[in-house]
Amino acid sequence: MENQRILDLVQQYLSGGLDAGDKESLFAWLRAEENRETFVETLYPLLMASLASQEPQAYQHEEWDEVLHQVLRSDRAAPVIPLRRRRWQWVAAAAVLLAGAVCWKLFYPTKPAAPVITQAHAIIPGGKRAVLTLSDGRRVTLDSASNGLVAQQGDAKVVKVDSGALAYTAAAKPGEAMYNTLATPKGGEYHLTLPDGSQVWLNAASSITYPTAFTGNDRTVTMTGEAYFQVAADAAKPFRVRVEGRQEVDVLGTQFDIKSYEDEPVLKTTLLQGSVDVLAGRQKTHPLAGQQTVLQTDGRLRLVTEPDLESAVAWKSGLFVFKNEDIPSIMRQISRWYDITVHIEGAAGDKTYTGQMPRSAPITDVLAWMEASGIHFRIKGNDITVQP
Amino acid sequence: MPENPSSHIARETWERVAEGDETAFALLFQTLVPQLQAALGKWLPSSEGVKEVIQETFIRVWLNRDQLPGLEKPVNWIFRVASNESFTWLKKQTARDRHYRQLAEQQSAYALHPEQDLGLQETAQLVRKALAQLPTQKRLIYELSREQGLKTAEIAEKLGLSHSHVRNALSSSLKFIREYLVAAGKVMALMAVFLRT
Repeated sequence: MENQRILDLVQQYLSGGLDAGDKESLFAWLRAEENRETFVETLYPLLMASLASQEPQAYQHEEWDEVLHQVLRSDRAAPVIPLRRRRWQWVAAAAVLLAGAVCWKLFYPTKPAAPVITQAHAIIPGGKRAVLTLSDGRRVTLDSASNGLVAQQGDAKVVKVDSGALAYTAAAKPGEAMYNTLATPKGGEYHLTLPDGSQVWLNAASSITYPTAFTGNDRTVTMTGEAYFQVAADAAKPFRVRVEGRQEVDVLGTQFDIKSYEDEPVLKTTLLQGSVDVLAGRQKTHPLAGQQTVLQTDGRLRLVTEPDLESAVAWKSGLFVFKNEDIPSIMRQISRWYDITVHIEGAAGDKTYTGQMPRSAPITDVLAWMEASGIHFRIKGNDITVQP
Repeated sequence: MPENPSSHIARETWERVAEGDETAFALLFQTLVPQLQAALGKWLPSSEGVKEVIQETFIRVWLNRDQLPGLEKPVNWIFRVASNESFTWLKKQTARDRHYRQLAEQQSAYALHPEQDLGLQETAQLVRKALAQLPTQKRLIYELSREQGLKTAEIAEKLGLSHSHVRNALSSSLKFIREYLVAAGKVMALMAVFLRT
């Protein structure tokens, strides 16, 4: 919809003069989150123009003091107090604060003992870290390399695009293919654009090996760990992802995630868009968009028709999303991202947990969250022991 | 973008707001609310809407207070946040509208009860949940700042910590709260907005 038209419809709607049909189309537009940017880019300059041109009115205490008060209370421990009774409550609140301050002086030691959680301050969350191994075996550490040309591989150029992304430019005349490997350590993640324009997001403790030019009849890459693929369509050259000795995925143009960590009990392939063939041994499954295949320890390839897509690809959006997961499963993910070693004492129990948090959170926050959920642990250096 | 001279806010005010100074924040609030009210009122002809948008906008401002002195044009940034909150509010209206229509169809006696503003309560509740998850020392520092109104230097002295440690702890607690709200789906990540002011 045209930008100005949106604001017209909004104004008509709010003044109650919009017919049912226009209202439905306005509502449909507003419900689509991808229109947020357009809306902001339309409204913001208009607001700034009004700011520049208008004579400001006086601030209305009766109308706005309550809002101010509530905003300032939004991050305080006590619940929001309705403002009608504010005046005498200020007095009461002051009395409580004074009493609190007195108690504080009496009971609180000047230097509180460091809670156990703060001992984990040295553990930092993961970031954009990876090592590139070139065809001649040379290794380039990408987190310290500056942006720009990293290497020349045959006719292909390897460019570090920004702090966490590497891209290959297609060779003008494809010569002999050379193989490169991009690997992330624990606590690393990286983005890669292959010479055909396909994109790969590599999660922590993962790797991908690929030719610097796709010269053959297909586009085959090999991976370990976890990666999300957005494959550029090319019907003439199928794209193939191999998890050595375990599984192969044949695709045309599509988006999917493969989680193949050796320490996970199963190998999951989650298809977000398009279609793929998943091959394991002599088994072949054809999941549809929104479905998932699970390669079990017994070698059976199972199709999950309604997997939890959100938790499967949350890592790519910088989140941990746990849904009914047990401690070993949660701790495996945390240990890969924070580069820590986890020991689980006693029976882990079959208790499961649900929750989410940003991957950028310091580990102290993760541990505080666990502690609050009744999971106890000990920290020593980079070792965390979960206690029963 | 031009800036109206009457919306000019002294550098020092931003710095005091970043310190958690409520008086400075009230000054900022009182200067900008009439401006925002006039500008928003022109495009969102709903006084309830304008009020809710301004409310949510200033919660964002408050929860981003440690970042304000670092912004080149903080007033512009606030207006951008207001544009963002306008979209959120309109989006919410679409859901409320449907809700009202259903009630009206059922001829319910409650159909005309005004809906309470759950938005703010919800945000405040989430913020408190986030606060409860802070590690002990960080929570303590945050409470000393907010509940007792202590300045960072005073907190540092009280706890025998360095001034910068206290500042960093407050900053990282605010960041945690913001990320918590984003993860809860309550707000958009606003840091992206910072870069484009």
